[in-house]
Amino acid sequence: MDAQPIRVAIVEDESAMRDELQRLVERSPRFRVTSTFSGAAPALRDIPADPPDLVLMDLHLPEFEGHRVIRQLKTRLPNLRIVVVTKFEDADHIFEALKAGANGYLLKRRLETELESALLSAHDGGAPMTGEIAVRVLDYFHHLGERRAAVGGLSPRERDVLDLLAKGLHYKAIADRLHLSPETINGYIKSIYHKLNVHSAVEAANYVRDNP
Amino acid sequence: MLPEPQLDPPCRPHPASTQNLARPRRLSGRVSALGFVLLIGGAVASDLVDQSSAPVAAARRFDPLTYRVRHWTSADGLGGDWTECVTQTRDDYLWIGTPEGLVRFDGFQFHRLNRANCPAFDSEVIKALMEDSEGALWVATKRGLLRFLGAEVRRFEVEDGLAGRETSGLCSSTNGVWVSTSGGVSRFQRGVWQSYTCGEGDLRFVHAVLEDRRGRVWVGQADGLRQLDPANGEFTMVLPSPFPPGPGAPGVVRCLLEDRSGAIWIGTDHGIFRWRDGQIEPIGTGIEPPEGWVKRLYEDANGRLWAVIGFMLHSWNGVAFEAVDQHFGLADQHPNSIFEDSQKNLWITSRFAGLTRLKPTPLRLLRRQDGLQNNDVHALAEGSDGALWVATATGLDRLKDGRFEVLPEDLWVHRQGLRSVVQTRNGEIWLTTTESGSAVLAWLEGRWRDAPVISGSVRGVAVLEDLAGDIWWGGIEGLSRQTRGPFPSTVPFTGLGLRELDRGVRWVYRFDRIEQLSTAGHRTRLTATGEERLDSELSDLPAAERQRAADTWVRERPGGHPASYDIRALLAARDGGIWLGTARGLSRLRDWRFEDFPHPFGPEADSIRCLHEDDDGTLWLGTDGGLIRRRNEQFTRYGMAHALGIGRVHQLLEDDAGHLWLGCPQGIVRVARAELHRVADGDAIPIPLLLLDETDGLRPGSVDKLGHPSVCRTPKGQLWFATSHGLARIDPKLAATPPPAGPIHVERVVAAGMTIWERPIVVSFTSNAANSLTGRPPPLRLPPGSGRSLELHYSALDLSAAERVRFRHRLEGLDADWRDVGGRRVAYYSGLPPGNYRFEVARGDPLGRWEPAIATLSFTLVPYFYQTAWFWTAVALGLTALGYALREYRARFQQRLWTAHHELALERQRSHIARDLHDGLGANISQIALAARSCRRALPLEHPAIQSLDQIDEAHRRSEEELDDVHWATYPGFDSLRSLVIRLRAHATDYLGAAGIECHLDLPEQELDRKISAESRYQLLLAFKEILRNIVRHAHATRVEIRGQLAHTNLTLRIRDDGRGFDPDHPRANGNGLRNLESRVTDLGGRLTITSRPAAGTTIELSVPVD
Repeated sequence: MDAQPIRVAIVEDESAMRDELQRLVERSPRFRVTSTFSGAAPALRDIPADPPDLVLMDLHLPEFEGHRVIRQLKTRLPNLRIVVVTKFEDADHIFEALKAGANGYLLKRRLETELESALLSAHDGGAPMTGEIAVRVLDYFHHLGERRAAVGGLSPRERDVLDLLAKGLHYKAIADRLHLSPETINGYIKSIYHKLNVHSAVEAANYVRDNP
Repeated sequence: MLPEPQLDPPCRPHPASTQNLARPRRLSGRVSALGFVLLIGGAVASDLVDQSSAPVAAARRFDPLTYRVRHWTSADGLGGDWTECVTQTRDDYLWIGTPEGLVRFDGFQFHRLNRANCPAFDSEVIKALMEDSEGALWVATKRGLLRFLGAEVRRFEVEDGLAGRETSGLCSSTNGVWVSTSGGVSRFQRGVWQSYTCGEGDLRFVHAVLEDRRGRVWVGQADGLRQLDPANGEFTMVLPSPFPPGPGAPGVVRCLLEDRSGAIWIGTDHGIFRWRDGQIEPIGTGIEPPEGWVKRLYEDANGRLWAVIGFMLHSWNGVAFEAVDQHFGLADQHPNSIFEDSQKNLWITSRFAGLTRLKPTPLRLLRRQDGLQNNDVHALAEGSDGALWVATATGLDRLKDGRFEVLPEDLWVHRQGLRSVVQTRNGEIWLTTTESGSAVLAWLEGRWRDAPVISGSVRGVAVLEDLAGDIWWGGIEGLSRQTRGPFPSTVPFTGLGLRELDRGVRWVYRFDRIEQLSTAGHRTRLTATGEERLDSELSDLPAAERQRAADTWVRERPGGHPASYDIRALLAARDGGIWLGTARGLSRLRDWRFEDFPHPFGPEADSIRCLHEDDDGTLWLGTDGGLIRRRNEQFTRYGMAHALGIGRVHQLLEDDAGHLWLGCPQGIVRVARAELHRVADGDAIPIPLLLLDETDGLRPGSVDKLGHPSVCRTPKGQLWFATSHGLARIDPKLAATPPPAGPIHVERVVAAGMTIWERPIVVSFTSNAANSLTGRPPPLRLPPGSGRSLELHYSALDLSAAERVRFRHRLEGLDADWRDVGGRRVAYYSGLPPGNYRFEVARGDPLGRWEPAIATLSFTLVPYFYQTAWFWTAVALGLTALGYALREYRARFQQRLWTAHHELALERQRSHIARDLHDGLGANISQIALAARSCRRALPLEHPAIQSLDQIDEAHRRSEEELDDVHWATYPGFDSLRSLVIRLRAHATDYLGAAGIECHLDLPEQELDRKISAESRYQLLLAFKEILRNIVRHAHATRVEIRGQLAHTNLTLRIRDDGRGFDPDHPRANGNGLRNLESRVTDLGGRLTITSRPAAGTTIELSVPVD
């Protein structure tokens, strides 16, 4: 157990939800809510000034698209962990968020049971990957084109993992199927996310460069 | 002024005797046989003498002036100016041998046969031509002998039995043909050649061979003439050459001829010899050797002998040969041979002048170069002594003994506009002019004297002396009579007449008025009540005078009126009286009364131009509407119905042989009176006509007439016609019967510039008349595109007057009727659509008569494939089908599009609804839940509301889950089988795992991108969830096997648990649930199968169609 509690910032525009999130986060002594923001703008302004360890953010904030906020934060604070919260599994938006650098996502209705583990997992550097996300990751890497050459595409094993994920298998089933340990699977997924982030960052940078 | 008239009884003076009035001068120099020789040098005058005065036997005499000359050269398509020999085959074609092949002539076009189109030719140099008794055409060339028989050509060489390679002459033999060659003579008999040779080396060359009627064979060689006995092949010298034989030495016997008397004429290099009854005598040619070498001898159908001597054509006059080149434009042209065809045309070949035709014609046109003062001849009158008075536009001429006599210049008769002339019985010549009145001319006291006569109608165009010796004038203004007797007076009848009174005042009488024309030219009108001055000067005649003049006029005038006062022709009727041909019909003045004789043929036929009464009392009228006959007081008009398509008849003249000669715009036409009577009586056989026109020397349209009479027959039978381009003389005896018209053929078919079919030059001419139509084209199939421009060339055979042939054609399928095209020999068509056609062409003559035999050509224009009917039908069908298909497709496409849009719209609607629902409902529910939670937190644990709040929370959780399912089902990004699989797997793992039930999943891993609709997804998910819920709640199972399969269009899910099972017939409490499940599945169009037995587990299988 860490000595220091993990400092968490919450970005949520609905006040009741915000309170709930805070309450839920602070149920565990491992976390401490250091700041809450009711919108993306104050969050973007203040978080870099006093960066927490982890940001718990509603994906659908009113003024900004979530992935843009994430990218902004991650550009300034590359080590910041971000977990997005979303009411429904909007796989496309979630994927965008993950591309932008989010480290995990949570469904609101599972907050009660899964918040702590999701936060801990994100803090550890992991990132969940469900079948829907895996499909999109696969698709993304498939359409990478020459960017793949620059940074490096997926390794065959990573592709296998993604493939099985895309078929709906869970980590354990995948590990069984591939005769690997779940930790190895985890490692692959981390690597996949890393590549995804990198590619996505490059893509974003290019986009900014090409569209000043 | 007027010469004293003679009171001789009216009788015709004998032309030969001298009348005390008329003493014409005579032509010096009489015609005699010796004088005929003097024709050499071109004295033209001799021909104008009437033939009957020539003491020489006419049959042998050749008169070049009875022939019209025409040349055809390379400019006319002959292809070269050197022609060698000519013959005619029985199909009437003319064949000309040239150094460049054989040429066929139909009178208009030349077709050449040479090596290029007839490979049988080895050498194209043709020496002789002959048609044998079977109708084969033999062609003697420098290398070999060709025979054209039927459609077959064959060349004979030494190998076939010919004596020598070079052939020079041909002669027919009984059942065979003789050929003279470079190596002897050969005879072709019964398909076999038999050759005979005499001499050595070059002396073997035979130049001429002849088999006479007795069967004797004559052979002409370089050293003389021999006779051959074919039986034993022995040669006997008959006429040796007086010179040593050798090349160039005169002595070569070049040609042989047997004349109708059986004499043999021998043409050699040193003159002509004649063998008769065993005696040979030399015939002088007048030209010394070596120039006097004889190339050719010929006898025509008249028995005239011809010879080509020393590069000149000569004619035998009975005593000697005389050169005639100069008459035909052949001087220095080096004629080669002469030939007479079936129509009596003489054809002359020459070295430089191409082909020359001498066409016999009975017509001779006398013009200014012959002494006529003006070519525009208006009127003619027969004079005494056989003279002819010729009234021309500039004055009067007298033709006597072949010479035009020049009248003294001071005579009044040299006036313009002479219109009519007559010589009265007493020798006076009366004439009228258009402007200056009339005049009389007479021979008085040794010279010609004349005087103007202000009498009769000023503008008299017709003049007549009647039986009483009165002179009648007729003109536009009427008729007037000049009486004879001691007190000559002129009485006008109606119209405009002049009456001269002593005072020099002329009175002009009209129907009911008397006008006075004073000498000063003023006009005053006298009426019953007085006078009305039209001009300034008054009449100075007392009233009584005037009245008397009027009375005289009324008294002297004949009764009745003629059809018109525009008098054109006057004729003394045989039974007394005068026939008047007027502008509006026929009238007669008899017994001092005018009678009118109307006919029903219309106004054109009323316009009479000339009159003629023949000796049986038939009256012939030449009118603007054709020829009309009056016989037995009945009129008959000759028009197209009688195949006499003559328009206007200007002149009528009868010859001694019962022929009527009609002057009309097409020329001069001869027709027999008997034939005219025959067709008038209803006989349908067409009248044979002889037409003399430009081909005979007349100028087109020149046969018009201004005066009357404009024709004359002189006592010797010659016919004279006045034309606007000369004085035409016709010798009726020389007028031959016109031959039947030759055949007409389609010659060539040219489509789009390319010759598709051409009539072969060599067609069958072993022919009778019916076969002359062979060479008929077969039905042709013309390639596509031919209809753009199609030319059909045709031609008709006519050696005498090809220019006269008229054509008409029609194209069945295009033309409704015949099209007259004149002399054109091509029919052009453009833009013909594809189809079957039949082209017909007929020949006719300028008189509008058409031959019944026509040439036809049937052809089919093959359409381009895109022109054919079935193509268009196919296209139409195809287009229709395409149209239908397009419509169908469009309809279906639109249907699908609409459906897709509809579905998409629905989906969107649904997702919009769902989202709105989620957003709204979800948020509200969250709020409720959150509020409930905060309430719960605020209450102590044992508070009674806690349970309710927990229920709220539970309900919230369930609602959230359901909302999540709805969101999942409607999320467009989850519309594939993949998402379903992921969802089912996730739910099964979580739900069963949480319940502690082992879960085995075997879900599809292929084709995961198959689309599943939101409805199907949702219902499937709910059904799946329901099933699992049941298992968890009721089955008490430890293991669940879930198997999913995608088969084609169906997704099958099989969920098997190892739980308690149940009896399907007795379902438990959640029977409704099962029913709902079933309805969910069947609503999707699927099938639900539940298999369960108590304690044996349950297997639920649902199968749902997916797109």
